[in-house]
Amino acid sequence: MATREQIETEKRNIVDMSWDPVTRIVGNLGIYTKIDFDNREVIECKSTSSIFRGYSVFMKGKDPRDAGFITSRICGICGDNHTTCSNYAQQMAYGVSPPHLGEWIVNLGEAAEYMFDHTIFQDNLVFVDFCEQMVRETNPGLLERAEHAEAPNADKHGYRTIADIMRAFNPFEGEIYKEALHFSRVTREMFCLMEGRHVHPSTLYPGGVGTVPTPQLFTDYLVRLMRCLDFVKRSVPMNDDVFNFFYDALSGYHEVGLRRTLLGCWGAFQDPTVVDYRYENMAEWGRAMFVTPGIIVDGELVTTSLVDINVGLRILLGSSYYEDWTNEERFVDRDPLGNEIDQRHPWNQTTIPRPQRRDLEGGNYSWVMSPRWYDRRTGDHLALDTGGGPLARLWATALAGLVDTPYVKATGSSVQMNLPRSAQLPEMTFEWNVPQWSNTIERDRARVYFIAYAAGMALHFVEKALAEVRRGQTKVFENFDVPDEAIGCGFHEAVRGVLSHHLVIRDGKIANYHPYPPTPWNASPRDHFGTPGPYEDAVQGQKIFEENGQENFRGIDIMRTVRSFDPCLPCGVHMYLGKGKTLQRVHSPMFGPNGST
Amino acid sequence: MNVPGCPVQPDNFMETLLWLLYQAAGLAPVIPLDEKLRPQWLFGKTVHEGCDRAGYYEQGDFAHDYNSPKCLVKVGCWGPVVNCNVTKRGWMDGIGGCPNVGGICIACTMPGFPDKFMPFMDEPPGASLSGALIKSPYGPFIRLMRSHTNKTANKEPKWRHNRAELTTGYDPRWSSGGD
Repeated sequence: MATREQIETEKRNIVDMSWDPVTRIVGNLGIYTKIDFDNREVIECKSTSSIFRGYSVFMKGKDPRDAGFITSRICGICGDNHTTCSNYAQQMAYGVSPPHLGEWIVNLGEAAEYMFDHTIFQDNLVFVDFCEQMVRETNPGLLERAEHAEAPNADKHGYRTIADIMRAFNPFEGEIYKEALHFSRVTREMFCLMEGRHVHPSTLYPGGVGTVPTPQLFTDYLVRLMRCLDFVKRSVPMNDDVFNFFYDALSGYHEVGLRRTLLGCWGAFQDPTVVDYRYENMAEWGRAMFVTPGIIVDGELVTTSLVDINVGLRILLGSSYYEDWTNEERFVDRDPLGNEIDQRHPWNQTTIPRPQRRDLEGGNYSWVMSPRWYDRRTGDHLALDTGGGPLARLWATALAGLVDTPYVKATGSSVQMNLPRSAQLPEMTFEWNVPQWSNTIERDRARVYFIAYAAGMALHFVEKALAEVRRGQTKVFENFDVPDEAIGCGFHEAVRGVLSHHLVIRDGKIANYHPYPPTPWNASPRDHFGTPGPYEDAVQGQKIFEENGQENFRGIDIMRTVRSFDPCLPCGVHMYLGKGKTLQRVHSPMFGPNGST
Repeated sequence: MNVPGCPVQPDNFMETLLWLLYQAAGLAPVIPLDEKLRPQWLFGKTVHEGCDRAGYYEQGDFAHDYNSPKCLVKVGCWGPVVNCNVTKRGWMDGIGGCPNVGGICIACTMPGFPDKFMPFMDEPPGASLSGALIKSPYGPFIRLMRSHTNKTANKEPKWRHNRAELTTGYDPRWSSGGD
């Protein structure tokens, strides 16, 4: 349910509607909109978060080797992405590269994480927005149509009509919903084989892993992976059927969640034969990653260099509850290649929280800052989004055309995934083509293709790892010393998109540490230029396709858009059932001196 | 009551919840808790007591870095003094865990976690004394003796060979005075 308040603005009937917190996501996110019901359009959208974490504050002064253990606790679903990213940053600072086998083990753990997390989010949370029960409530006409729409890929997934698929999406009872829960268990077991524990890994260290690399370890992983392939092979064509149906049945649905194509991907899965963690070589080893880093502006791949990506990072304020740090200490003037590092770069950020009342009308309204990427060509500070993770990863990898493995191959305009014969289904090839739009449907569609991508990569990594073990190359950890003074940066893909960790070491301790996960990019509020963040931008101006009128409005199209980004603002999820005039700016920051009014 | 862990081992949590539901329905007696209000059957033993690497500790045989499958106490494991059952239970369906699979115990079930136990990758302060005691001469001596016995245990018995003669002592009839 949403809260609503009616305002008569001239002749237009504008209604304020809000969802706070948004449910079926991780964390505390509020979406505040103004909707023009006569013209069935969202006029304005603001995205707020009422939770402050403070990792960058309390990391100061700690032993840098603890960073991976501590930052894992940022997130209760993708903590391992943080540990991995932190270890990448530390390895740069310490000048150490893990042995090849250690790197393959991390890749295997992360591949399992993508498979697990994307599936549980897609099938158990996103699909609730597309399930029969929901569509019946919001678009009965559409459901009627789905009952008679034959599923084009019925022979592959076994559901005759689109409505049959929608019924299988129904929470707790639907077949796909239940199967996905089982799948996410098996993939998490794969994860635990490599990283010890889900979600805070026990066996990852800067310098490598402590996982015991016997053939048994990889057999146990491979057996589970092969069991998962049937599910993946049915999921991809089934997702395609549902999403294509929405395009076909609701003319103009591609406009839902549509925004300018501004995508960022920071790359995933290191290639141990190339990576040396030296900043000077970062562009080269970044391009060797098995998911290619890249920034896409209006469909054009602007760069694949992690150095360009790093140098262009800017953390802006404008609507966030923090003091500016322009006059604070500058930790890094130039990177090791001599590029100037801005005061607004994470290496130089000083986080000074300033709790205050939420002011959605021209004031500050979120604990999220506004990360942007500075485009040297135009001087713009681009509000990149991650497309929920998979959309940007596939897009950058496809255009770069660098990934070439037996199971996954980038072509320059697409990504091909080839999965071998499994228990029930024969060998199958899927191809993800660069879509026409960066919108809600394509964000969701990319997710299932990336599950196939991760499965293919996992097969490749198992083969590489077993080859090392059989050759007797079983070293998984490389020792190192912590230097007194050093800097480091790690780039990785959290499940839902870009992840960076920036580290400054002084006197052998952490002097500055700033993790930038995907959601600060996606959920960011308006910056001081007035540029809205991606959620705001994607929802704003979007058409309403819901059949319900103002009275029973569920906001399904808006929720589909927000959830397509796979929001993750730890933590605390419950549903707020508001009625009437709750938009009187009563309070917002939940904690702090002015918080509890 | 408390079911500690960062994160909580999922089966520990559900099992405790289930007991409480039975208790609430009057179908089970009061849940047995320790003085920190933790379920006794889950947190009554230490990580070390359930760890399959504890045998290395007993023999004074320690890992010097994370490549080793031996006891991790010298490289940061807090297992000997931490109440937790994960080494016994694994992380899910018996898979994964902490020191048993190569991850130091960072004491995530204990009051004061994490600050009290940092920096994680250094030897815990108390471990150097107990480690030194076990290392000389008790642990190495036990290890030496066991390795001798282990060699004998790995030998085929003398009566099993490829020679033509039968030396198993086979004798189908009772012979009281036999050799």
